[in-house]
Amino acid sequence: MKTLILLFISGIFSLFGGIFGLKKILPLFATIALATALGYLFYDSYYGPENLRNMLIFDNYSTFLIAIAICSTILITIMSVKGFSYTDESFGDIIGLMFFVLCGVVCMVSFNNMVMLFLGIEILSIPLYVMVGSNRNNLKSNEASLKYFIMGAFATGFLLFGIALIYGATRTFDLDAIRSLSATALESNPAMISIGLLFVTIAFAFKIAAVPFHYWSPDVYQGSPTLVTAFMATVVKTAGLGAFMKFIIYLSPMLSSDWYLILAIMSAATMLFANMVAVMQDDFKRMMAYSSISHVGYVLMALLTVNKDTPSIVGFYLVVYSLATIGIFACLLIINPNHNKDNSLSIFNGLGKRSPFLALILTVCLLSLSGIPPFPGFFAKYSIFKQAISEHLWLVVIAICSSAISIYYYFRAITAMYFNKVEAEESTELTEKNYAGYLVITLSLIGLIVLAIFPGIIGL
Amino acid sequence: MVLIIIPFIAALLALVFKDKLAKIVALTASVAQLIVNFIFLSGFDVKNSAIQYTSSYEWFSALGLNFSTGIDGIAMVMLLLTNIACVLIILSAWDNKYPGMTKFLSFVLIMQGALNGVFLSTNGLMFYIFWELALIPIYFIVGIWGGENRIKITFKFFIYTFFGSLLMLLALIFVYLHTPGNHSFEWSEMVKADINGWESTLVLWAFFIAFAIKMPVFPFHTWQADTYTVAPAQGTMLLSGIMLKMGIFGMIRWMWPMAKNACGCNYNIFIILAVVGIIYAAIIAIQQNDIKRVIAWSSVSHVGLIAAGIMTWNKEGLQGGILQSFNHGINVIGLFFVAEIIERRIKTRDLTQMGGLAKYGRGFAFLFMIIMLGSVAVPFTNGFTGEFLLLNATFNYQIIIGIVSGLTIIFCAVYMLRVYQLAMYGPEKDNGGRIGKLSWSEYLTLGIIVVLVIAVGVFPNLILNISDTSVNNLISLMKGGAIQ
Repeated sequence: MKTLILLFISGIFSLFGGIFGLKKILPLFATIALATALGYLFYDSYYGPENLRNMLIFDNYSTFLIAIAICSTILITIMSVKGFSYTDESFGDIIGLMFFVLCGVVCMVSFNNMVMLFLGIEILSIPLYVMVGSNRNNLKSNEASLKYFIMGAFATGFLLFGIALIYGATRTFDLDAIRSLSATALESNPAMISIGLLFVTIAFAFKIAAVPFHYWSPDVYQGSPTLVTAFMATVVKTAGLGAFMKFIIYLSPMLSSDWYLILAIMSAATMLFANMVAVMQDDFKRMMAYSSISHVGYVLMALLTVNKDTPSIVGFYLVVYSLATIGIFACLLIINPNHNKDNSLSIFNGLGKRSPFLALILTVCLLSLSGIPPFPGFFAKYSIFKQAISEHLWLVVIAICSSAISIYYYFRAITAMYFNKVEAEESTELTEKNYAGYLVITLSLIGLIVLAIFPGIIGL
Repeated sequence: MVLIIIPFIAALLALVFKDKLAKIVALTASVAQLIVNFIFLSGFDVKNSAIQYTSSYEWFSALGLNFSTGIDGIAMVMLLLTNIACVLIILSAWDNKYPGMTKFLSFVLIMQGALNGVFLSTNGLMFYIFWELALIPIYFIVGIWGGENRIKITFKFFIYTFFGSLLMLLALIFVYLHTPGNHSFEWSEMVKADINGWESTLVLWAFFIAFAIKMPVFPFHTWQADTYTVAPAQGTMLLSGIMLKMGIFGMIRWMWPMAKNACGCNYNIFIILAVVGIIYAAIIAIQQNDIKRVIAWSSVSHVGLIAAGIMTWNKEGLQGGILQSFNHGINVIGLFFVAEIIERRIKTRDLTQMGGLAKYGRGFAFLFMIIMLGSVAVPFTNGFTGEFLLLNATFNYQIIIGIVSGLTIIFCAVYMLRVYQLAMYGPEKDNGGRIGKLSWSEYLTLGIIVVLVIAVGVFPNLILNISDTSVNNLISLMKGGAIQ
């Protein structure tokens, strides 16, 4: 609770800070505020789960997910020192909005009431619409914002409709009550329940961009400022998947085998389709968008089998994924700070020579995402495979095939860095020293190495 | 454990130094590694069939991943090969002036560490991790320092082998889920896994495809010739000398015991594939004009014989396969180095552009001759003992297969002598290239190889003794299985 309040107040403060010309200290302030929030989070969880009138419950599980989100945000905030230079006038707003998104994340992953789920998703989404469009002079950014808004509005509609149907069948918004009433409700109102569940699922699928509800994602990722893309790919994905996982774990007595089949097909389609389409992308950010869609597919596979290990498996996956993704986007920001070039894969040409350190980190992050051992992405993917293989062998086979496909596009970037010849115009050295960016990529590299050597340290 | 750590530390160290010093560091490290390996060998009890020098540390217990290492006779031979070969490979790079030599050497050392890890691991998942880890440095070695068209070819190579490895991972997980009690990835537990019928066949095929891609066995060889040709000499040596032995080792150590209940009829298919590969590759080798391509295809042919011999799963076959893996590793490194020396001097690998090289390079011609004879399997060279055992095994298995695979010796003589003849004899071509004097590192590398060729040829028991008990143990482990 203290975390939520602190995040909210910091958000308002940042907005005012932006107005009163305190932009210089805002990143520092935000980092400190986030760190404090993180401290409060752990401090509270130390005294056991905190229950807010059955609306929000802060247990180990939500603490962990909030911690992932806050840590990712800290890294992104550090990046923002240089990252937002082109939108100077709205810098304070962006930081403030980031805090508000985090408030939404907190509500989403610790919801114990369908109303809070809805509120959480809305609190998360509305600031994001603005953030995506924050690069006002860029047509693509505007387009992305509008697209995201319209798609998000659709998703909200589905969510509300689904919640209403579930309410209609059970006469309550409370998760525990829904859970305990599920048997009788299923008997008396099977259609309402299953349609309601389906609608909520569709809404989630929109938010996490699972196939076939992913169409907004590549455009939005490509159009948004790189920092916002990183934020969406990590924090928002974590929140969406975390909330979805909680939804599944709580309502598992209601979920029929048909529903699981739908989820399995969605997962298979997400993995295969996203990886195949990513192969054809020339724009790096679009490629990363499809890559992040495909990772959603893997996580959905983990959600098919709900047992006591599921949260830690998903948690581990999200940590590794977030670290690697932030590392990649930070590198992208260092290479192409002001969006003056398009983000096609050729901007990486010869990076291995121009900046071996950047190339090394980018390689580690890409290898980690592609799941090649001994990088932690392998452990993450492997735990999911292992969990799913006994019940869904066919899905694991599809996952393995799509992993093999994904190698192709991750290695395109690596190939560009090390093997491609540098063309004259691109051979410019990286003139501007972006120390904050270097700090972020170093942190994510350390994180990945630690996770590779001690993959056991993350557990719920 | 030590064997894995030394190369990795050395790889980091080598990065710190500049060209010449880095070479010295890398060479010292690899020699030190070899010495450590010999220390292990001297303390190794060849009469003991158990896995020795075992150690185990927890890595990620939730996944059943332990850092478990151990050496048995078969692994010991492979380790010896790896560590001898790495010394040779680093020595052979002494005269090369690649841009970014330090990085190159450090990749070679990482590769060495990963290969040692593959042969040392007694944990299935750890085996897989090192198996994949070995792929990354070679990818960079071929991709950065390779020849023409390297990007496309390394891509093909990488995706091909990665797909195979994923199949292996699937098989490993599947076996893991069938281990008794609390599941475990330890080799000793995985062997006890209770898998029968078609499931066992599936596991067998998944493993087979993974290993067959690596070796490569016909028809999974399409990545090989191109990759060998574009790779820098040392990369080719790593690939052909050591890396393909990972596949052979995997078949003996992992595939066979894990899928012991699979129908023996599957092995008929594998052996036929291998034998087809022997003939097919040999015929192609005869027609190549690029020395490296000849050697690459000859490698497919030789490995086919090793695979056929091993998959008869009788003692001669296994022992011959292990011995021949060692020999082939040494010989093929020698041959590729010969090709490299010629290329350094006359700037081409095209056989039609060469001739009369023996005239101004007698020492070289002599050393080349011995290595070539070793490859052709002339008595008193190492190739003979290995191939003899392998052919013996295939004859015992099935006469026709034995006869067909026996053709390999003739074919091999044809394409090897053709290379020798075209390159070393005949009129000199007027492109100005001559062998001249060899440098000390070239002499040393070729010298060590020649000594090994003859020593193992005359005393094959040097190698055979090490693996003897382990092979017996493996065979007795399999008795009662469906394999005849």
